[in-house]
Amino acid sequence: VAGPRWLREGRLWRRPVDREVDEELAFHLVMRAELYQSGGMDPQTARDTALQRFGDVAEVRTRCITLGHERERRMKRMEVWEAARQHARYALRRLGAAPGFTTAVLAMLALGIGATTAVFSVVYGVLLRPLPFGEPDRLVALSHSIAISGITRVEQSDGTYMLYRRHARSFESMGAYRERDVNLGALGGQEMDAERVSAATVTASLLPTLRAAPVLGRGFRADEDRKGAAPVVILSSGLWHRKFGGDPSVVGRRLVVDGLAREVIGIMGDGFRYPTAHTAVWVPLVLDPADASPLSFNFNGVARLKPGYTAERARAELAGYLPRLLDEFPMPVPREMLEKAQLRPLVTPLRDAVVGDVGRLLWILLGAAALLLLIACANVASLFLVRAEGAHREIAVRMSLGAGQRAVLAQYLAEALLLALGGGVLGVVMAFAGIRALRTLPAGVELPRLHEVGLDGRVLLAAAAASALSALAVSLLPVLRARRISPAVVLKESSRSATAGRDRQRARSALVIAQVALALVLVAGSALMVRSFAGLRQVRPGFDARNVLTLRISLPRGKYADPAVTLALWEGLLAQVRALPGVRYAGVTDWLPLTDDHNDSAVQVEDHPLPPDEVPPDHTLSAVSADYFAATGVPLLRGRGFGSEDAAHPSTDVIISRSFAERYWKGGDPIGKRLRQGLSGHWSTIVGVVGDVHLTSLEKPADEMIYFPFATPAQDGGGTDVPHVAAVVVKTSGGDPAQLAPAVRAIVRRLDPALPTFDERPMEVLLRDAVARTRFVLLMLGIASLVALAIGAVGLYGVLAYGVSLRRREIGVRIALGATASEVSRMIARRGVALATAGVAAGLVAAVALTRFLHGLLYGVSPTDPLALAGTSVMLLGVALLATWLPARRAAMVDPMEALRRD
Amino acid sequence: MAKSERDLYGTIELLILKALSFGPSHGFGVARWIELVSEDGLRVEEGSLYPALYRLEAEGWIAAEWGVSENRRRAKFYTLTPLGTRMLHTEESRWRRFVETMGRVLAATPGMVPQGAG
Repeated sequence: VAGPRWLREGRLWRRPVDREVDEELAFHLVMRAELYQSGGMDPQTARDTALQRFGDVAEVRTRCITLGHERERRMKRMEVWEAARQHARYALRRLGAAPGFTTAVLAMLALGIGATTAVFSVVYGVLLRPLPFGEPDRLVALSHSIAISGITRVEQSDGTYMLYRRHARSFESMGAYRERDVNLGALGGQEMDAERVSAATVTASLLPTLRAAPVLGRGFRADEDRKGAAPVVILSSGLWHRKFGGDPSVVGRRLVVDGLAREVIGIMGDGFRYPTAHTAVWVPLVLDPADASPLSFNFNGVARLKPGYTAERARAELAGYLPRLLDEFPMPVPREMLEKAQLRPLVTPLRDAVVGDVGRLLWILLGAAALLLLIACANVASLFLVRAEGAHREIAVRMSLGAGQRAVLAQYLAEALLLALGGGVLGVVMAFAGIRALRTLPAGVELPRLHEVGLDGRVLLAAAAASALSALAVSLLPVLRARRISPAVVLKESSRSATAGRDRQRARSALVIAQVALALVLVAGSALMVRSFAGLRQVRPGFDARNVLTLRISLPRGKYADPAVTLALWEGLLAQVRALPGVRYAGVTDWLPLTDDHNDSAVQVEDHPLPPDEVPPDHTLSAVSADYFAATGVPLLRGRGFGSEDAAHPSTDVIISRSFAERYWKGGDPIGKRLRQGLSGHWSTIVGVVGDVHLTSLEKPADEMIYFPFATPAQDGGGTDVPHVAAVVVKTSGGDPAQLAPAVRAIVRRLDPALPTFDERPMEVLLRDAVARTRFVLLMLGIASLVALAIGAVGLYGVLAYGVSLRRREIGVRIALGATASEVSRMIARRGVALATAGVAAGLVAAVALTRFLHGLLYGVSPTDPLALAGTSVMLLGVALLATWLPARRAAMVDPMEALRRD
Repeated sequence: MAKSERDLYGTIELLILKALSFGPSHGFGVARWIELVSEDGLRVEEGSLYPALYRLEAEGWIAAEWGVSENRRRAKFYTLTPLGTRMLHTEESRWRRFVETMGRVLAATPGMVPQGAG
């Protein structure tokens, strides 16, 4: 035992300090008095002189007592520290002596804690943390539920928003916005590369509702979202830094946004990212009551509840105003139609609206990480059980030699603590790496609020502490169990009886079964995702993505107000692209398949008249040029394609998809039939039928579509409509289509240098991104299940190998009595298979209960898909056999003589 | 703190360490040793001796243990710890350097005054 001698002795010295001091000072005075007395003084004088010589006894006494107390405190601290240091040093030495055990435990804990902490950090940052706005609990999103074909929910129309704003008393303030993309042009007359960025048109009240204000400059004034107000814009911090180098003088200058010069009035702070993380500019949203379309739900509504008001109370209030919608914003539609659509207000927490549907994805990932942690804990527990076999005997010996139970326990506690600490630190490092990896999510899985996710100190602490605590509990259990057994029993038992440790073997077996079962759940989840992924890959998108380049262009409405000019640009562009070497076809469309483009409209079919109060069903619309079908390989099944476009004489031809034809004419000939958008407007004639395309998503059935030509008669009567935002689709005769992009870009620049091109990508990338979410879940679950499989296999191997080493003597006897090597191997293997089978059985039950949480992420496969579950079981049994093989072989090689001799 | 005590501060600790370097002793023994060795030239104020002993003990330079004195009384004996021995050596040489330097300074003659000061 180390430590300075004075410290060790000090431990025995437990008399109160004041009594010590009194006795010591008294001794001094007596000695001094005796000295005087021996010099001839009488006792009384001697005592007085001694006292006088000493000085102020009371003061010295107080100071000594204070110093003594201080010393005692310091010593106690040092004693505790010293004891901890010794335990730690001893524990380190013991752990160092068992590198295999230490490494395994650290790896398990790091894996489990790391995965759980990383995923929990994301869950916290995205789902749980309040929105970064003032008093976020009072912020709500306003939308509507609706019951018309294919739609269950719509946001706000300008009409509904203005209606609510006019009357609602539940809200302190309200705001509305609409997301769109804009072209940025010159700043202050200085030419810049045109750029397309995400924008939000917002009512002046939106930012104050969120309690957000620019860090530089000012917000929108209340009158700046009225018709005729001076054009202004607010920039995001990101755009300001990236494009203008954070120059404060930008405020006050004019920036061209979509062809219109707007004064930059403010810069938002870095933390403000709303409606999306990418929103780069905010411009006022002009809502004009005189020009409202109360049934076009294109806006998002946000409101701040008054203190004490609930979302439910607000919803009930809004529901009371909704019937007045058409009174206050008249529109030529029958009232009954609105009633039939069952439009109802919804008031939900803003956070739910921001987070959207990734919640489940994240909870599933967290579940997977938690399963991994459980498996790791089970494994650590069984590792500690093995160690407890040895510890068992050691504890018994030490206890019978008089060592205190507490001292022995403290030592194991120190070991477990050190391991938990090491595992925790490694886990946090892993979590850090994991979060960084999650931030670079594959395209297509955009997590909202991801920029807010970080290694939040409190989360980290909570997650790591919880994980380490569970690890600690698990690791100490075996030791606590060992403590209960009396030394006599242990010492007797460990003298090589064949049944030694049978009780502990049972505990280890249970842990192995648990590990196999948990691993099965994860592997089953992965198997289901693999099946979904394969299913999605099987979906025929309806177009041929090979050798196709897509690229978007957006024409500013101001400059391209004349449809003839707009159409001329598109046609000129296509003609020049077609002339490029290697190009076979070039077309344009306003809705690229599998993108966020969006254009649905109610459609009336002439020979399918609806009852007057019925809402016509929505269909997917797309405007395409004549060559679009050839470029994307969508086959023409019937009739003819579009002819050449003419702005002066817009075409009323339409082409429909096969499923649209099926829906209305069921095998009949649709050519020559007529349909129209909405409830009024011109009729168009069907001239052809093309193959089905999955336009919105691969998961949903092919869209029932109507293709319009690029130049159509305007909806409001006079003139021609030509899309301003469209994607060019170019089919090459082979080779990488991406190589064509610079040439196409150059053509655009030649036609109009102010036009930005964006989203250049091969069409195959669109297909890949469409399955990105499935692929992401697959990847995450795949990693988790591989690790789980490995841990499970190691656990099974460990328990069998240890079983063999415990039964060496028994096996030796069996071999000596004539058992063959293969019989002995079989005996061990049987045990392994029995354990694995029990684990698989338990795991199947758990999997059936748990995989239904994957519902919604699966495609074309049920959560209890028998093929996936059977495959998983076979796989786990296979891995288990592999883990069994080595111990079984070792058992067969036991030398009976040697095994019997050893004692 | 009284003036005389402040003057002795640091000195009394060194004296105690030195006293204990010859073997364990109680507080009175330390006081007597200083009186005898210095032939009463250093009158240690006894009131400051004990706080100094407690301070040294708290620093871990000396250790205390109850024992029996030469006249069969219970007394608290102090022993120099290894740490204290090291401290004693350091302090001794520092004290010597101090004394030498002071000696040189006090032996200075007027001729040694720097030019600038004249």
